[in-house]
Amino acid sequence: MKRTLQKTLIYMILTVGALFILIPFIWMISTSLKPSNEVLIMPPKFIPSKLIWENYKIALEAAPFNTYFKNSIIVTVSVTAGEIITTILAAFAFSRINFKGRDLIFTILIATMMVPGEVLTIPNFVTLSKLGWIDSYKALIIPWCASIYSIYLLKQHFMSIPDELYNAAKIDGCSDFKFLWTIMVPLAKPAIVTLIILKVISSWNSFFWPLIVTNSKEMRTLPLALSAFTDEFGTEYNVLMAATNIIVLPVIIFYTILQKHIISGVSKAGIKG
Amino acid sequence: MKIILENICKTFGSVKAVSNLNLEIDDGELISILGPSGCGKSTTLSLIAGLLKPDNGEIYFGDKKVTNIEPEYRGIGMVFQNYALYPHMSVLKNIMFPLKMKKIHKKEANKMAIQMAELTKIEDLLHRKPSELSGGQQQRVAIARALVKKPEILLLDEPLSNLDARLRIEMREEIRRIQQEINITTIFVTHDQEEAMSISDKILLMKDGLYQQYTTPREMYSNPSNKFVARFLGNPPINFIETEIMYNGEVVKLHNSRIILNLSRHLKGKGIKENQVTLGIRPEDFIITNKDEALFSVEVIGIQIMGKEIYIIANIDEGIKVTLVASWDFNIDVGDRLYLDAKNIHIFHRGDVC
Amino acid sequence: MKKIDKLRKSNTFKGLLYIFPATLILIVFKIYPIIKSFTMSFYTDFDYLSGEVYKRGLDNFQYVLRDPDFYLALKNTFYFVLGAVPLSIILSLGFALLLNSNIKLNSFFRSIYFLPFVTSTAALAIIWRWIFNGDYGLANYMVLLLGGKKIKWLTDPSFTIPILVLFNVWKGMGYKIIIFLAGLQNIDKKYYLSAKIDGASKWNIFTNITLPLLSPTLFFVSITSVIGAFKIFDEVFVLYNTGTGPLKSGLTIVYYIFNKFYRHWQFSISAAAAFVLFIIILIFTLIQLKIGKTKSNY
Repeated sequence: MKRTLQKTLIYMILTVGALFILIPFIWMISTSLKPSNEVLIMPPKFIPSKLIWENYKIALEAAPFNTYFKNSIIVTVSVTAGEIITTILAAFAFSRINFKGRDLIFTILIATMMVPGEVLTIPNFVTLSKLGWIDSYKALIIPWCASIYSIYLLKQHFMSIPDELYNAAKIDGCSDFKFLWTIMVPLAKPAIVTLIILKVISSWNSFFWPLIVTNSKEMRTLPLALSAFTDEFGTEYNVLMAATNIIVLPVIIFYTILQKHIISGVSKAGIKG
Repeated sequence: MKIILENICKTFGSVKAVSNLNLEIDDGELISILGPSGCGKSTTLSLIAGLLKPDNGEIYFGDKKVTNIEPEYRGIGMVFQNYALYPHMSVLKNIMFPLKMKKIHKKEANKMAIQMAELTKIEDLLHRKPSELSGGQQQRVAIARALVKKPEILLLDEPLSNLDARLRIEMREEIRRIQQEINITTIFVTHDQEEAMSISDKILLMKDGLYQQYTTPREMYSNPSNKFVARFLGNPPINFIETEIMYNGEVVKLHNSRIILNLSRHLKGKGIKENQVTLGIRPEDFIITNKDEALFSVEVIGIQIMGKEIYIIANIDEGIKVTLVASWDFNIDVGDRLYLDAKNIHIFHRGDVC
Repeated sequence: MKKIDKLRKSNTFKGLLYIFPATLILIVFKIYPIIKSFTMSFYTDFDYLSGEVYKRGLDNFQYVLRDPDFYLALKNTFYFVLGAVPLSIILSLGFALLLNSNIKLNSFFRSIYFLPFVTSTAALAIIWRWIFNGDYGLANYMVLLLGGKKIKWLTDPSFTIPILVLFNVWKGMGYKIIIFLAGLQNIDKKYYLSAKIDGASKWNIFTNITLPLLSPTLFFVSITSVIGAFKIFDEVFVLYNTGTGPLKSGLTIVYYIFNKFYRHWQFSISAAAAFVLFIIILIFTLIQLKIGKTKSNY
């Protein structure tokens, strides 16, 4: 008796928590499908009397979302690919190749993790403007194509692959470079997939950096575009929520498909970090 | 392929892993490098493989100096202690990997791999992953992978230490069979003396990076060059009795005891030249005899029944213990007095460390 | 020729080749800016385009430390950290413990809690702005349901920090729950069993076994939470429509840095403020490291 009561209580608390998390999302979807005359009313209606898909069309036509989508995709894909490649190479060197100054370089790089990214914004902005990269894909992509945190995580993973495998491959006539791609990378696949997923999410959602290095409308990524969009549609909440959903939806789909991977990846990264 | 090691030295920090090692291995021989952990046997193997480079000395394969050649160009196959199979590849892919690295055509590689699988009797397992295999099967895959590129030298680094006792005996016979079938020069590293003696043409015994003795198992067992070698081979281990010479290089007094032994019969005219020596008598070399023919008498203080034989622990005198192996024919109890003679007595310097 | 060949074969050359792409980017966009930002905070008179510096000194730091806005930003950020960090840790630990108690729908709940973490802060802030709309928002509907009066959530300065705290807790809870769950699952079940056999109550088990064994995780979460909380910016920027909230009640340190740099073009002052932020975070991290060393001693 006591056990069932306890279980029920636990489920109730968990459900309240889940509702607390979900209500804003439900509220967004509900609002995005409302006719204009049902948006600004008190008490609010959760289920619209009629589903107005029009709102999405208006939102999509009101701003060049095609361009924003394209920008977000180009930036996310390039940043992710770039970071993974530089990370794999560096993690391999730091974990397998015994070269002079290796530990010193690694320590210096690790030490930079202490400094909050915001501190770097100004000099980076100056560097980029000197290079003439402001308001270009280069500015959005290149500075993010390497991450010491990812290198650290992957290095830990590479180090857990036994030395014997490396020796065996050498005896089998395998060069370092081939060993990295035919043995190490396939074996570290779970870790690499985690890094990819985390990078995709953080890059897709990134706000502060694009805000600073882009000026023109043509270079905006989705989160920036949405923020700008609110100026124009500040009171038409149904259209605004439709626009918000357009940006949130791809990530939610991505998340739903890969949630097992994401969650186990995050927990592993957290425990190690 | 003949292998020659000349004055090989290797240090790690302040530890001398291998000092001044000279070794010659004839073509087609299987030799074991034997010794306790940390004796430098695995380091020696890694030096021969090229995974490590010596600080000093040269290594020759046949007439060719290979000291500074990378492992991938030495034409060797190697089996590792944990097998080091690539976990994400099937058995077939694992065996084919060295051929792929040599850019051998896939069809040809496939054929060669299957041949090798037949030799090692794993042809039914080709499409499994290493994690789905037993220890013995993984071992066979590792051997097949090492041999598939037709190396001239096979190196085995404690290949049996992860297997259970029964499988170990089976696999060591397998290794011997395969080695003789393809007649490949093989170096086998182990810490297990029984394994080394049963499998090898010759044994190199090492301790603390130093050469101890290099000869056939039989010779090493019957003529150990020092106390360490004598003690390392044989189970239960050899008995050591400390003595001082009394007379003529033949009559000795036991150290810390009043018991005197006359060894004239045993030494067969070879008198002992030193003043203090250690006698070594293997437990199985004792003969239980009568009072008149005995070398000395002992009091039984313990008996261990081992199955096919019994171990008797006995005191010659206060604090001087020996172990002997006897058959079931004798009805012996604790407290009995036995009269013993010895078939064979080894003489060592007392100063030897073991 | 031979020398080049030898160099190519050497490990040092190979190692440097492998780390070159990552290190180049990290040097240009991470190490150089750290040094530059430090030196720039001492430039009192310079031309940023030509890079010429006419005068150096401590004026920037003096300016920042005398600027009432900076103190306001400090105060707001501290309130935010004090509210958000403990609340989110307690809540997430609680939920993690509930999820860890053999719940069937464990992974279902976990997935829901994690949802806000993967979603863009900018998008979420817009939804929250709509929820806290003073006339037609969901929040005021709840207040009315509970018999209260409509509240001007987004225009009353006293609500700014509480809303930011709530938003932060809501968004970050899932992440912390997952980290705590991983930590809890790392604890060997045999400790619980032996404690039970020793007659420990549930509360005893929690304080004597779970908490001490969870302390490394707790420690990790609290450090990252504090650092993250000190850097709050996106939430304010979007929630208050690119402003700093009513009466600057949402002006945080990073917002201050952003304003100085992006809106007023006072690069060196901004750099000085960023440097102060770094020092504050460093001090807090060191304090926590110290506490962590004495508390989590296994």
